Amino acid sequence: MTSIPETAAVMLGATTAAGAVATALLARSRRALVARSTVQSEALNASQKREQALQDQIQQFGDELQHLVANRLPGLALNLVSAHHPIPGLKHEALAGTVYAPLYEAVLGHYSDTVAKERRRIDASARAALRGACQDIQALSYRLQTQVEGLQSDFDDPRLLDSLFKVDHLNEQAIRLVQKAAIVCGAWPGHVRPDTYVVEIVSGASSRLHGYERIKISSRLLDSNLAVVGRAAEPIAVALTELMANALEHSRDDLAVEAGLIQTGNGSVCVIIDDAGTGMSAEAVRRGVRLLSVEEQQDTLLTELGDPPALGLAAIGRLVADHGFQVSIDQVSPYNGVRAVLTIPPHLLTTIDEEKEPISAMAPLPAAPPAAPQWPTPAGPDRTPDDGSDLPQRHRRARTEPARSDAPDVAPRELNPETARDTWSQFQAGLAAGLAPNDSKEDQ
Amino acid sequence: MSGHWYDDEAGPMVRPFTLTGGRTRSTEGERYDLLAAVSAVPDAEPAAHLDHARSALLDRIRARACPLAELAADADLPIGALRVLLGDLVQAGLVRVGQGAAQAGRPDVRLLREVIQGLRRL
Repeated sequence: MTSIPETAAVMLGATTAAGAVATALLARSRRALVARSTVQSEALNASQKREQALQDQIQQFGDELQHLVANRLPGLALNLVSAHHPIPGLKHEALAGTVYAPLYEAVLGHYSDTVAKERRRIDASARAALRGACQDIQALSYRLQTQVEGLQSDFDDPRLLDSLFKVDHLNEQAIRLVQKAAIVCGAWPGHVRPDTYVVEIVSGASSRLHGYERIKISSRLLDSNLAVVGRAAEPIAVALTELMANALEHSRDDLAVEAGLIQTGNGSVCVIIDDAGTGMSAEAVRRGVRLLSVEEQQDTLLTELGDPPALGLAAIGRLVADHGFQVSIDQVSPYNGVRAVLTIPPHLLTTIDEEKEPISAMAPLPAAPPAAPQWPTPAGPDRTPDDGSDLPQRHRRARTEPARSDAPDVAPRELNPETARDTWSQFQAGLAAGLAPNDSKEDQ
Repeated sequence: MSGHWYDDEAGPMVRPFTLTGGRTRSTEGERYDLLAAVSAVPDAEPAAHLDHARSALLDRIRARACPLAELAADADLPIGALRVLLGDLVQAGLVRVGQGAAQAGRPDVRLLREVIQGLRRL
């Protein structure tokens, strides 16, 4: 029989052992818990960092987008108007190397492409509209010119003629303005004239300007028969008009503008236009040279010509590109103004046979009839010995053709001013006598 | 390039007012008659200072003397402009312009009849 104390001791021992075991178990469990909790808190930390990073990135994208909308696109828009405006770069340099950077650039690219395309489309329709309007006005002005010409021939009263001269001159100026606008918009100058003396082209060009009296033309051409081939006559006249207009515009009203003609060693003819004005700024010269360069012709838009638009130089640029003569405006004249030089290459020059077509003030057609009419021949190699281009050519109607048809009756007569005077005076006296009774009746 | 042609409407490149410098009266102040005979002064000094239009006109007159009206038609110049150019040539001593119809005496009756008949037929 065991005693109570023994039992108690056993019990105590057992309890102690159980307690120790439990303690050990508990300690282990706690360690495990601690370890788990560390892992979890690390994971939480990492996740919080990730979240922060994501937040930052979203913030960055938002910022960058904001920057794109508020600064970069408006900057690009300004840059497209005028290239000296800078386009801002990325706000966050950190984005530069990422896959997102090209996306932002692509937005800018699309934007500028769309603007450029749209601008060209609008420019093309503006050109078409302006061209149509100008050509209609030009056609009407030429009809007016014909009418005025008729009046000038019909009426020789100096006072009336003075007004008619003024009307003619105003009309010439109007034609010049619409013609150059039409050319800038892609139209032809509108004429194939007959082969025209170089001197006549220079003088004709000056007549289209207000202040033409200030233009002094001097010719040092050795060959007075020298002429410009018909198809280039009007384009060269238009270009000269614009160069002279520049010279007149940039010099005082009391200063002359000199237009000199010389022949160069290689057979070209140069028309040199010197003014005594203040000259052009380096920027203006650069701009002018750019407008005149052949390469620029495809890229020049109406909207880039400034306000007021520099139509003159743009028109010359187009004509130079189409017809192959040369123009330079970057020299200084002996009077410190601008020296403009227009060079007509040999392939645009020809000579007019004075036997067939005697030099005339206005009409290049002869008064005495040649054996056979020469002019309605199509553009053949003998007419334009240069590039042989097969463009259709139309020629000015023959103004004196009716006189030609009955020419054989007139040709052989003996020419004597006295006889002619008598015949004419008899005719006039007869006419006066015939009209006299009518006049007296009207007076009553 | 759009093709638009004005060849039939447009006049000559050099306008009459350019030839005379805008003047409608000759420097001589004289208004030559339509029927006045225009002829070149035979032994005149060749004029180097003449411009293209005036020397062209002089060549035409040298080639053939004729009444003013006919010269205007041949040169395709308005009478008024031609008078100014002739005035310049006369002043330069290169051209002579004769008297007009007033001094030419009475016309004969047969011619007058023909003229009247001609006018009636118009």
